[in-house]
Amino acid sequence: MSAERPTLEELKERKVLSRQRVERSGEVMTVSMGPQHPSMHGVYRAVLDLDGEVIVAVRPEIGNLHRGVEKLCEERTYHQIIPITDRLDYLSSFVMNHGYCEAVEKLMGVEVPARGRYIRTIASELCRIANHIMWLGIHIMDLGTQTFFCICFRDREYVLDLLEMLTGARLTHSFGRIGGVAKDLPDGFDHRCRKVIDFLPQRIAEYERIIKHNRIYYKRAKGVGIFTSEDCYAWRVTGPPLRSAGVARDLRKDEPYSAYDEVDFEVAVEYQGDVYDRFLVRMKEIRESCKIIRQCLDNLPDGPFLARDVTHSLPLKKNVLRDSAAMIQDFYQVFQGPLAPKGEVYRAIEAPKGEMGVYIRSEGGAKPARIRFTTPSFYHGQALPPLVEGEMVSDMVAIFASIDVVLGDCDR
Amino acid sequence: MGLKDVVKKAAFVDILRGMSVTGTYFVVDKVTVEYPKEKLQTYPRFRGAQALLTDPATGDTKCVACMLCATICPSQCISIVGEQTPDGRSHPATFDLDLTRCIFCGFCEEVCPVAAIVMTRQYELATYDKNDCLLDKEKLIANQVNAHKELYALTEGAAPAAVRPASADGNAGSHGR
Amino acid sequence: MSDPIAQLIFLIIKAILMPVLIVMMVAFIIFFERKFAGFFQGRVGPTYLGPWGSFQSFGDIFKLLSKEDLIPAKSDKAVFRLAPYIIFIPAFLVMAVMPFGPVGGQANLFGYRFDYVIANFDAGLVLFLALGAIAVYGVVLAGWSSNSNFSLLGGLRAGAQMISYELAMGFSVVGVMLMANSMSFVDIVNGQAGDFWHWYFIPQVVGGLIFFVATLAELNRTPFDLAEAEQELVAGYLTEYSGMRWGIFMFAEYVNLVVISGIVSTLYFGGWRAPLEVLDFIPGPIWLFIKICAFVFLYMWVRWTIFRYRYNQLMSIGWKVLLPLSILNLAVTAIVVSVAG
Repeated sequence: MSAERPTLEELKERKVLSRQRVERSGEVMTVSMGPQHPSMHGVYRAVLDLDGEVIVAVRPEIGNLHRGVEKLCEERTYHQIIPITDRLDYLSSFVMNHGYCEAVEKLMGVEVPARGRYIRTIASELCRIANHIMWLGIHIMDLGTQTFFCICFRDREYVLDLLEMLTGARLTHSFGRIGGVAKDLPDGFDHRCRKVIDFLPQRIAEYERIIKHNRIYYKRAKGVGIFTSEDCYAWRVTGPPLRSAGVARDLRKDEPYSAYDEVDFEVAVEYQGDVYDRFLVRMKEIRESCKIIRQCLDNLPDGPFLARDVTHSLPLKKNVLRDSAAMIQDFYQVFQGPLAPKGEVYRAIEAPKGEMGVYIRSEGGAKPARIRFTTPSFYHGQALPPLVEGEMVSDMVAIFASIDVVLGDCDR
Repeated sequence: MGLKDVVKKAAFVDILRGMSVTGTYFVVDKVTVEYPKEKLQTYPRFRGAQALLTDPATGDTKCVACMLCATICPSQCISIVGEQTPDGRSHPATFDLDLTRCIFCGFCEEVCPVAAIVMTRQYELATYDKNDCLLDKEKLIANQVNAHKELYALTEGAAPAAVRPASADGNAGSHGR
Repeated sequence: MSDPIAQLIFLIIKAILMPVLIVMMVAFIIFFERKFAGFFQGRVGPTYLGPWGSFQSFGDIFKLLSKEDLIPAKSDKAVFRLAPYIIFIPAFLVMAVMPFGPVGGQANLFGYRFDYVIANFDAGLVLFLALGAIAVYGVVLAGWSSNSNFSLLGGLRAGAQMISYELAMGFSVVGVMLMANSMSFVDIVNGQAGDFWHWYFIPQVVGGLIFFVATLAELNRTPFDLAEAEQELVAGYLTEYSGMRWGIFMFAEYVNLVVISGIVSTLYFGGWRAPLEVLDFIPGPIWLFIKICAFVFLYMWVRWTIFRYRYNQLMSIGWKVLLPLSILNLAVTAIVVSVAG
């Protein structure tokens, strides 16, 4: 936890050195990092102008992974869009499902039952933990050692196992449904989940013990890539980078959804705005996620996990096999689709990488007229110039890893 | 920086701490599962390749060609042509599932009203011949050996398979919306 | 047969055996690097080829030999071809002056005097430093001749890094030179006669530590592997090399590793001498082999634990920390040696 809380002016002063390097630069050499590059997280291209080691200008190029997700969504019913949202930020798929389902439920006026909300919270927080552990592995690998990458992935396996047990897939969960979740918690999940979340904080403590005080990490991360809160507002950077600049904005607290207003947790905030603080913020978030999951498991309410809304949600399978009313609902939902009222809605949630928003405009009918996913990586990937100009090439890799860009999220 | 910090820095304490961690990993059991000699068992809900279950009473597939799975599939990988059997049931004449398009979302399994199509635990789908990925009715029926007990249990006590969808013409069309 | 002819025959045998042994050792060390990398990371390394995967290196060599020989069109072809060998050959030359057993009359083979060194050169230490400097040429020329921005950056970085750390390395070995009163490796090892507390790592602990860190930079290993930083420069000066040319770079790196481990054990840890006099019956070459293996393991352990420094931090460590410390070490050693006699 950084002891000092620098003011905005003090943080801006620390970037003077970078600005001076840019102004003093001479002849530049143009280097293209990417799109195929061992450390550019996906097919991201950054064209750098280098003066020796100093980056004078950077021109990011995104769009190499554009799959036309929003256009695909216009031709599918609201149920069929759920697996597509999986593929946005594929490292935390359920959170994307969650955000989309929240937006659709707001549009259609569907109320999610309590148990469904709690299960959604548990799965979202598991995705958050998996995302942050993977972020740590990749960040340290970009700094030079593969060992921590393997160690982090080994710990991430426990979480992915839990997610496979719950949803049926490790990465592309497709678990959210309009009105709740697809299935209930399986047998043995509670016991296993508790084991994992008891074990994970010790692992985080071990990582912190090794990395936080490591002289090399200190040198490479402290004071590197400072992003003030003003910059964050200007470039629409949210999530851990914003929280590491001293702004305590977390949509789970500010605009609570699912069970977040019924659990007790802290928002992780640091004040220096550099790579080191982003690391601290994410480690704290993992610990808070473990707390949230434990509270959810302790207070899990009984009842249905999927809303029994005939016009808007899919029926439970066991009812479909036994009950003709549910079968009719099944046919209706598949052939007709959930009918949405005319109107538009915007709903944002706190994805692990930042704020993820879903805007839906509906002209009535079962397919949206327009869906827009405002994903955090889209903005973070383009916020590279102020972060990186004036820094050195090695720092660029560290900074880019710390703002956590995933191309599926960025290009959609 | 106090004297303690200087001594710690000179003695490489933080680096030795990191080395002790990797040194420990050197001697403990390794987590590698040496595929293909050892394989991990997937969980019951795992969504692998699909299978069509057969009804032990009739010996034919439970599928009634209601087109729900073909309609819900987000990547439109299922094509069904339905027909009437001689004894008046509806069943698919052809049932083609293109695994190269399938995204393994599990919606087909979820919406099937007779629990005919299920996702098995089979994930070893890589092959040299693309035709192995284009599953037809026979391959899907043969694949039910990979389905697991939980899915069979799901279908016990279910309504009989002879439920016809209320469609105007007797034969339902091919895949479509 | 007269003595000179016997010595000539022994020389030819040693000169042929030594490179062959080193090459075999390097093939297995490459395998062990990957295996230990796996172990340090909690996974098993290669297991497929041979018992415990030990023939992995040979599989890699066959694979590399079968690849297409790509030379970039606009590169300087002659220099591009020459560069790997400029690194490769000096490493072997240093092994020629390093003793792996008793020299000067104690050992006999078929009644003739057998010296466990290929060339008992008076200034072996200076030769080692000089050949290390030649290796820098290879790196810089490789980066420059590839005609690619990444390679150039990597080559220049590596060149500057190696030159800076060679200074610290040189000054720290002068301390050993003062204690042994000679520049020849043979005399340095003979000066460490006795049990392990006579070895030079105890009085020269600071010098030894500086030497270890400086050699990490010479070998381009983490934490100083900026030149090959995969995450930043794809592969630095090696980017345009493929197939067996790249294989030769890798080979040269590991031959350097073996040689420098040998030098560390010779200068500071008694070379071929046993740690305790009672264990003298085990022949010298075996002890040297054990020590080389121990240091190779230590280099690997450090590599798979630490992450790399940024370029300017690396240079500032070399010039602002290691160089003054090594000069200080030299001054203190000189005072103590002249006072204590």
